[in-house]
This record gives sequence, C-alpha cells and structure tokens, in this order.
Amino acid sequence: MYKLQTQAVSVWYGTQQALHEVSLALERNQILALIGPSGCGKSTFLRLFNRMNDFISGFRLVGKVLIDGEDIYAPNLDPVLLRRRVGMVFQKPTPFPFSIYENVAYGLRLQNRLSEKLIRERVEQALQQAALWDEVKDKLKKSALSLSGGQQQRLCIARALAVRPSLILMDEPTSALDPISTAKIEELLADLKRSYTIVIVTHNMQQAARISDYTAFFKDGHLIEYGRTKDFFTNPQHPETLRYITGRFG
Amino acid sequence: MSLRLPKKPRRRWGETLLTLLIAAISWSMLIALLGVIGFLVYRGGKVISWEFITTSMREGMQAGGIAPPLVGSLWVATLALLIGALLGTATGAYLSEFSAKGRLHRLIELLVTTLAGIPSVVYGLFGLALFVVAIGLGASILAGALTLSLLSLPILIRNAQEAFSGVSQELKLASLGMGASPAQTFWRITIRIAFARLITGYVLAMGRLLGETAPILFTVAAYYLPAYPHSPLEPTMMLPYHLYALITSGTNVARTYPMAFGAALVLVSLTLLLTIVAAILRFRLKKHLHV
Repeated sequence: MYKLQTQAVSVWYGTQQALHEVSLALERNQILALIGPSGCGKSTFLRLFNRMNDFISGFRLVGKVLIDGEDIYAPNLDPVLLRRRVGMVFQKPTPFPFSIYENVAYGLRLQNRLSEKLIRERVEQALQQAALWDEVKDKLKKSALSLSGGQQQRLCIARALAVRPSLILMDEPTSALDPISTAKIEELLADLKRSYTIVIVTHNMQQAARISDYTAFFKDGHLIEYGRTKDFFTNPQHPETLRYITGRFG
Repeated sequence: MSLRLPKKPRRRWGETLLTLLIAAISWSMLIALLGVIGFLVYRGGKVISWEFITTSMREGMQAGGIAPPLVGSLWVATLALLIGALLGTATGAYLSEFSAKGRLHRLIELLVTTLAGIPSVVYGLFGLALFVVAIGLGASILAGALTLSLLSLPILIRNAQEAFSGVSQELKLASLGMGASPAQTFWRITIRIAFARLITGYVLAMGRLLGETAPILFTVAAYYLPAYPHSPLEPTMMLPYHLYALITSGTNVARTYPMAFGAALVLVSLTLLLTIVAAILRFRLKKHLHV
C-alpha cells in the first residue's frame, strides 16, 4: 500500500482552479520534493495532506487524497485528529513564545494526559532527532525566541516529531535560513527518512536533487512530471521540465 | 564610468513648515494636559491630605474628606470593568477568531460602532429603565456597574479584537497544524500572546469608567450618603457626582470650591496613575511572556 496517494485531485479557491486532476503516489520512507514556479500549486498540493487548505475560504476539492489507504477528506474524518498524525514545518520558523521545552511538548499536551515523565522523554528524543539536543539541553527552560533562526527551525521540526507523526510536510523549510543551517536541516532529512515519509516544497532545485527520492514538477496547477529524482534531473521526459530545471523560466 | 552623486536636495520650505506646525500642535497637547493638572493643583492642591482621601464628609459636605465617593467610584468601576471585560473580550474573541465573517459578523460590527456613538446620558436613561426599574435593582452599585459596563463594551470589544488579531497568523496556523483545535489554539496561543494588550486595555478602560458621570446619575450615585456600601444592591456616593454636588449645591462656596477641585485632582490622578500602570504592565508582561 502506498503511504500517500492522490487520485485526480482538483482544487478550487472560489472560482479559481489551483490544481487540475493531480494523481500521484508515494511509498513509505521516501522523500518527495515538490518543485515549480511560484503559484504553481505546489504549496496547495502539500497542504492537502493535513487539510490546512480547509482554513482558506472558498476551498473546494474534487478527487481523493489517501494516507495509508484512508480517504482523509471522508466526511466522518476529524481534520484535527488528522493533523496530529501529520507534522508540518513552515517556511518561516514559528516557535511559540514559550520555553524551548514547552514548544516541543506542545503537541503532546494536546493529546490525552501523558505523564510528565513520558513527555520529558519524548521531548528529549525529538530534540535529538532534530539534531538540536546538544545545543539546547542546558537551557530547555529558556525562551524559544532566544534561539537563532536555524535553531528555531530545527525546534519546529522537533515540535512536529514529538508527536510521532507518520508523515511530515515541509513548506520551503530552509528558504529563510543561511547556508550552514540549511545544510544541517538537509542532513537531518536524510536521517529522518528512516522513520518518516517526507513531502517537501522547495524553490531550490539543487536541494530537490540532493535530498529527495522522488520529484514532482508543477506548473499552473498541473502536475507536469513526476518520477524518481535521479531520472527526473538527468533525463526529464517533458520539455517544460527540461526548460525549468535548466533555468529557462521560473 | 563615473559615479554620479545625487545633487544636494533643495530646501523644501513647505515641508519644514509642516513639520514645525505638527510639532507645535503635539507640544500644545502636552501643555494643555499639564495646564489642566496644574490648574487643579493650584485650585485644589491645598485640601489634599491623607485625611482628605481617607475620611468622610463633615458639616454637610463643607469639611472633611471624600472617602465614601472615592470608595464608591472604585467599587462601581471595578465591578463594571469585570462585567464589561468578560462580555467585551468574549465578543472581541468571537469577532476576531471564530465568526464566519459573514452577514452576522458585519451586523455585530455595525452594532458595536453604533453603540460607541451613543451619548453617555442615554446609557444612563437606559440603565435607569432596565436595571433600576424593570429588573428592580433600584439605584445600586450593581445597576450602576451594569450600565457602565454597557458603555465600556465598544472600547473593550475593539480592544479585544485588536489584541487577538494582532497575534501573528503564522503562529495560529502553526498551532492548528500541530493538531490543536481552534479553541485549543485560542486558549493556548492566541490569548497568551494577546494577554499584555488585553490587560492594558482593561486598565485604560477602568480609567475612563472612573470619570464617567452621566450613566451613574440615575442608576447609583447618591447625593449625600456618608457611609460605605455593604452590598452591591446599595447606592453609593461617587466622585464625579460628588464633584458636581460640591460645585453646584454648596451654600458656602469659599469652603466647598477647593474641595471640589481637590476631588477633581484625585480623580484625574487616579486616571493618570492607571495609565502609567497600564504602560508598566504592558512592558513587564511582554518581557515575562517573551512576546
């Protein structure tokens, strides 16, 4: 069974169509990179999987979006519970104005009462997975806002990991970061792949080529090409893809 | 290729003049404020003493202090603020965070704006008709506080709306993305970050409520009642009305005028003090909550 799958998904915001019959499937423990010019629908596509588009007024969807074979737009499915299973990291780091510890514990505290001991274990694990533990272990009670931008983004990754999601969505997670922080997060992704399936939107084609297993190229709401990353960049099938990856537009 | 430096800009007389004018106007505001306070100190300063603030009136209001109206005012304004803050914050939260921004939303917005434009004496009449007579609370602290809380609603609703919508959308979405429900996001993120602004608004509203006169005339304020209230169902003296009484009804103007100005000075000082408290609180809370 595929980890995630879309079947002829079309999306509208009001009268404007943002996605046109996109069908795609991804196996577990893979990294899928979504690329394409601004406004091509890649962020909309990413946000299908945790139903964040629901917050945009006029959002309408036709087609099926499946995670582990389950239709996540089924009427009896609670999107709040879905979002607890799907982690999300945004473009700009979004630490809450709490301590480092409480930031990571945030998702855990939303769930049924977990013991403080268990929360502490999970916080530490998540910070270790996000390669942040060594830098913050002595100042967990300090404000998350005192961290650098790159640390804040890894904190947001830790915050998403703490609830042990099976799928992680990242919307240009490194575009606001310096090259060193970016490199750290890219290394991290390679590690995370062993336990998680990751979908990442990126503007940076080298990044897509470096980190992903599969790449999907969107343009004007259409999925133009989708395939294994190494084939995608060395032997693109579609002329539009070739033009984009060789930098002729975008 | 030579680098061409921009020419030295010509002096713009119009702009300089405008800047000066704006500066002059803002300074004159400060002078007006200091003038009012200075005037009150000049006319009423000599009656101010610990005794003036802590003791009751004597000799038919011609001597003694202003403690009963001061205590009465604090009672009514505090109770009004509690009621107003609860309703106003809830309404503001609904408008800013939960409403579907449709027709009902626009209707409430319109009502709030209208409410803000109603003269305060009309609130007094309304309070008299509804709380004092129809509900039967009589002229009482509760009736006065309810009336004042209505008056404070538009300010407190706007305050809450601004405080909540000032919280970054990104943080709210990050919380929702973690699987927090909209209500959880509101309680755990939004209200926490908005807290400092909310409190500042409450304190400033309290300052305004203390000075309101018209709404309390028919609903709570007693002309002469040199005792402290024991329950919210009793009437009480209040500072603004006491001030009015001292000015208009005294038989010995030479003795009551300074007391009236003294009372006014206390009232203005209270408002000023609350404004300063609001500023300090905001600064402290912001630091404390790392917002």
